[in-house]
Parts: sequence; C-alpha cells; structure tokens
Amino acid sequence: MTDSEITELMKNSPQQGHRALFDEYYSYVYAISVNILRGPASQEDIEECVIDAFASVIKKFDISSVTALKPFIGTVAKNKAISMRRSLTAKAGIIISIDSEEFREPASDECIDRNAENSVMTELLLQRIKELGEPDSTIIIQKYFYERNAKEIGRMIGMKHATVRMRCARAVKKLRSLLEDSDKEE
Amino acid sequence: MKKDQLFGRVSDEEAARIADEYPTGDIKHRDRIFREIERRVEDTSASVDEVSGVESYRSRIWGKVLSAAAVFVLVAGAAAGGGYLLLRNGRAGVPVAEFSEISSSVTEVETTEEDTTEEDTTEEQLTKEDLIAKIKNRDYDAYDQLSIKYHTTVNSGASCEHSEARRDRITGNESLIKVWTHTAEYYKDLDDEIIAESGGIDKLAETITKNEMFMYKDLYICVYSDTSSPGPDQYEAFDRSRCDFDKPNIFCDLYSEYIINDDLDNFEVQDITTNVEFIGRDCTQLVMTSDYVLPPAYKDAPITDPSPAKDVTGQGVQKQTLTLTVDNETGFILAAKLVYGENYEEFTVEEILFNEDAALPEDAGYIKNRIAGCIPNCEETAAYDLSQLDE
Repeated sequence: MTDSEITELMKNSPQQGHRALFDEYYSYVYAISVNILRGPASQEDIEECVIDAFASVIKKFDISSVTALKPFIGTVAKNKAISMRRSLTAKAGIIISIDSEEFREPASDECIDRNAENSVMTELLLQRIKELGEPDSTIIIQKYFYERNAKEIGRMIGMKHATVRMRCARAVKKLRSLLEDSDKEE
Repeated sequence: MKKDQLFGRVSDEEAARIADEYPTGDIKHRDRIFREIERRVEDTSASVDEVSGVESYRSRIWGKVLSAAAVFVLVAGAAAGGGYLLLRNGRAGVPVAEFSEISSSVTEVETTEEDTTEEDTTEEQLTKEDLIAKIKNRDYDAYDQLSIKYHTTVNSGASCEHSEARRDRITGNESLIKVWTHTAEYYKDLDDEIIAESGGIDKLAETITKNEMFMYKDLYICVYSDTSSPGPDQYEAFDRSRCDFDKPNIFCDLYSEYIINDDLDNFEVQDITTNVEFIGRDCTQLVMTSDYVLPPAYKDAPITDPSPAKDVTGQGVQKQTLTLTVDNETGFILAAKLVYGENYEEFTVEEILFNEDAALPEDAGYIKNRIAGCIPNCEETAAYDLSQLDE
C-alpha cells in the first residue's frame, strides 16, 4: 500500500488507516528500534518503544503536513528509541553523555569515514547472509539483528526450535567461512 | 560467535533494508502490539474529546461496564466474594440522573442559605475546583511501574477485601490479587439449611476467598481459591482482550475509581483540611456531602411508586458523607470513607510504590508454578494455549 493510499484511508476510515500504517511500517519501526536499543533493552522494552512510536505517530498525524510517511515515522521511532535507551542506561547506572557519539550525528571527517567503513561492512555482511539462502538468512537476521530466540524464530518460520538452533549453528559456520573468503579476496 | 558481535549499529537505510527483506513478528504477535497501540490512542482520544472547560472528564461508561464485568467474574469464580457485589449493588437503587437531580436541587438550596461574602466563596470555590480537578486528572500512566496495596470494607465492616494491584507499563503485564473475608454478621441472613451445611456461621466466617488475576502478555489467567472448598484450586484462562479488569488499566477496579467515575460529581465539598500526612505522603482531606435517594422500599412507599426520585421532602432522601484523603502529588485517592445512615464503606491504601520501588506483576515462572497445582475450571480453559508462559 502506498503512502497516499494509507493517508487517504486514515482520513476516511481512521481505524483501517491505523492498521494499514501499522502493517506497512511495523517491521521498519521495529528494525529502527532494535538498532538503537540493542544491548540494554529487553524484547519487552523494544515492543514498548514500537508501541509508543506508533501511538505517537497516530496521535500527532496531520494529513496536511506529512507528505512522506517513512521519514516521519522513522524519525519518531528513532527519537523514541534514543529516549528509551537513555532511560534504560540511566536506570542501569550506565552514564552516556548526550554528546556521546552514540547519540550524535556525524560531525567530523573521521566520523564520516568510520560510518562509511561500517556501512561497507554491513553491506558485505548483509550480502553474505543473503547468500546463505532461506531459511538460514532469515534465521541469522532474526537471531543476530532482531535478537529473537529459537522458539520465536521457529514460530515465525514454522520450524521446531531445536531445528532452528541446529540450522543456526550451521549457518553461522558457513557465514564465517563466506566472510573469511571475502577477506582473502580483498 | 556471540549475537551482539555480528551487528553493530547500522544506518537507518540499512535498518530499512533489513526490515524490507526480513519482516519480523508473526501475525498474533503483531495483532497484540496493534491492539495495545489502538488502546493507547483511544485512551488519549477519550481524555481529549471529553474536555469541558479546563477540567478533563473521564467517561463514566467504562466504570459501569466494568462493574457488570466484575460481577460476572466474581459470581463465576467466587461466590463467597459477594461482599464486593454488595458494594456495587447495595447503593445502586437510584439511577445516576435521578441522583444528580436531587443532589443539585439540595445544593441549590444550601448555596442560597449560606450567607458568606463573595470574596470568601470565590477563594474557597477555587480551592475546591483545584482539588476536584486534581482528582479527576490523576494519571496512572505517569509511572512506568506502579503497585498499590489496599483494602476495602463494606457492609459496615462485615465484608473486607484486601487487594494488591501491580502494573508494569514497560512489559504491559499487570496483576490483581483480591482476598475476601466476612464476619459472622455477614452470613446471618443466610438460610439455616445452608448455614448448617457449611458447618455453622462461625465456620463460614473463617472462609477466605481469593482471586489471583494475572494479565500476562495476551493472557488473562485467574486462580480461584476458597478455603471452604475441598480439593485443588481452580484456574481460568482466556484472551486478555476479553478481560475488563485491565481496561484501561488494573487500577480501574479500585473503590476510589468507582467514586470518581460514578459519584464524585454528586457531592458538594463542605470542608478541606490541608497538610494531612497519610502513609508517609502529603495529602489533603476533603469532607463532602450528598443526598442519596432511597429506593421506595426503604421509605415504606409502594414499590410501584412511579417517581421516587422526585421526592425531596426528606422522607426518601438520606444524607451521605464522603471523606477523601487525596495525595497532593498524584491526585490519587488514598483513603475514602462513605457514611450513609448507620452504614459505612471504607477504602484505604496501605502502600503505594512507584517505578523502581514498585512491586512488579508476577512473571511467567510464578504464574506457571501457581497454576501447576490447580485444575482448569472448564474445557475451554483446559484447551487454552498457555505457551506464552514459556516464551
């Protein structure tokens, strides 16, 4: 469903519009939240962040002012996640300055270079994960990016959790080998 | 390879790409999250839509719906927990509209009779309005974790309910434990046959009835126990969306919430005492009065009397006094006592804890352990999928 179709639906039938918005952007908001909250947050914290982000988007949604939904939703989700991360790290007694690079847009050339390097590495990693083929690539992403356990992954892809564990171990081994090959090629 | 070593922080574009290529969450999981989003949006809409002047008014309807739901669950699960039913039913003889009509008539007369200066009245009115607004604007959502331990006494002390409500907004889990006890006085009107079957009034008075309600993820699980019933405790399980005890949150079943949603507007503030300390918190005490229209039977009027509520002669109207102890910081009612005729009802918070101090709702391990020795109360419960407790 396109953004304009979702916008139209939200105008004419808010409840259906909310559902359409949610279905279209749930994975995106979840990915943004996981990306920032990974580490101090539990699965429940991440879900809370997703819920908070969508509730906030729906409450503040102004059809006349929002032309592209994705950047708007992404920004709200990112801000919510950063705020939650601050709160969680504060609770855990970890002090992270608001000037920390963790919360800062890249400002120096060094940061830009490092980000570009990270981006190349992530691109390579995603490429190699894709080469594993299904369902292994999904298992790896769900486990290592979304931090889901074998039982949750098993339920998602219709597989026993013991099988998920076994396939995951094999896939990691294969992924390591693919990444080593990439290093050698370079 | 540890899971946190594979992915560091990725860019928004990469996160978007992962989301596109590897969507997450099964349908059931997504539905649960969406329901929670809708619930929060609706909560906000309700409080925004019903703004009147500077005070926001909460809908009274959900309180009434909840009462009906509470009655259903209590009847189904705990017959001896009927004391609380009396709390809801004992004074429910007069529709709210009729009640308000009488109340406003009497208030009007009283206001005229009060010969106070304009300045004094204005100053007092502002204070009253501030306090009532504070109570009505109380916000349980302001705390990530909140636990309240309280007891409610009805039937002039004959029935007592000890409860503890816990809420964790981070996980979305909530729990409510209720324990009822009754004095011998409570059972005196029972049929002799039933009393004899139960081993006598004193034996009945020793009965302790307990409902342990767990709202865990999508699950609603309630364990029913009753010391007068031999055999294992029973439990019931169904979809949390069908449960009304947590709508909008677990604190909706507090006696104070019924007062705020059903009765508060009918009372007139008579006296305010500031700087009151209660369970270690700074509070303000309000004494309020109202006139309660007695059902026809109470004033020896024919049951067919077509308009008992219009009787303002005083014969069918009973003065009620409500004393509230209000927490200055939160607006929560920490104590309430309603006196009508020779009867009284009392609500007292014993402990209120916020955020990191709060007692958290019971976790999956506790719930599993609790229901391990219980039997399901029906086939539907026996077949109900409890796998969320294993996740």
